[in-house]
Amino acid sequence: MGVSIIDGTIEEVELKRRRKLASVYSRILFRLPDGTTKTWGKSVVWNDVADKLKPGTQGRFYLYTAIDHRGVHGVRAADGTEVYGFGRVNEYASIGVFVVSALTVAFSIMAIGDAPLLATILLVLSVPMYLLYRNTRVQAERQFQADSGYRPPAG
Amino acid sequence: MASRPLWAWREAGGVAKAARLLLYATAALSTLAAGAALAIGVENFESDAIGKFQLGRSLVSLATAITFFVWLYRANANVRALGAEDMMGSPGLGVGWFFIPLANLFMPYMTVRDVWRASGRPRDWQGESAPVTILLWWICWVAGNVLATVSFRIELEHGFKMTPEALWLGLLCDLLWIPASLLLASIIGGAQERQVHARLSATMA
Repeated sequence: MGVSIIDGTIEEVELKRRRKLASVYSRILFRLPDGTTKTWGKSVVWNDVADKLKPGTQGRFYLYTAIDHRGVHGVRAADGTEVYGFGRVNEYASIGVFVVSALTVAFSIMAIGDAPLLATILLVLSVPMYLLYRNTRVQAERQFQADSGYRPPAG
Repeated sequence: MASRPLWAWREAGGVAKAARLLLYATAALSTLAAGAALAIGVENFESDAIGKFQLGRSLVSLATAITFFVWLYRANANVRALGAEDMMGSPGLGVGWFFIPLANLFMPYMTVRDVWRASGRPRDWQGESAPVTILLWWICWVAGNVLATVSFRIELEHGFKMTPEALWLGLLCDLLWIPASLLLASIIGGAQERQVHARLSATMA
């Protein structure tokens, strides 16, 4: 879990679906400077960034992983353009789960004097889930900003 | 890609072999238990002999679980030592998922799947696919555990007395644990073999 960087060229992309804000890729294949390839599996990419993920795009690619959720959150391309984007859907979903399960537990305790097991587990799990997704986003922002002086060599 | 040489290769062949042998024993004991449930029936199910058999079986299950967790941790750490990056969490969390409610319904499957994928081509593991046997193992394992829990609850409600419903659910659970144990033994053997080949290739390169 965390963030990483790939320097290379996009060789292939398999777009699974594109929504209003984000795109989901089945895989993104990078060609590295040493000639080897690296595959980035199922990825969620904000559309501003997804627009740069075309075969032939060369530069530095900023990647994140949070449990089984992964994606590309930034690109600094060899043509001088740079773009950053990171969705907060999972953070909002974690807050939603927390609120709904907290209400369920509270009403159940008031009504029957007992807390339902499933809602209690969800309530407990939603907190570390939120923190994990938030920390990954903060790490991604810091990573991209800290690397702001980088300019990839022109291909 | 930023490199983090945090993990060192540790031989896991012996642990893998022990885990596989214990899984075969678990499958054999599940077969015996299923046969016993059919042959003995509810009325004779609470004899001393059955009690001793269940105790022995529990001890084998415990030893199997511990050995499997040790292998899973080492295998997960070893693929990282071979260059696998961006895997989920840490090797410790890979084992920890088995004990986190709700997450233990799907995260252990993902962990074993990713260890399998990374065992073949550690440096480009996300480009590897996983065999369907891993999913089949996980379905059998989860379904067996759900049935075992329901069977145990029924027994609990009847003051730990065996009932026909609990016996049949236990029988179904055993019938699911047989393929689950055999499939997991095969997965461990396959992943271990892939890791040894990957290490050999890395050493020769």
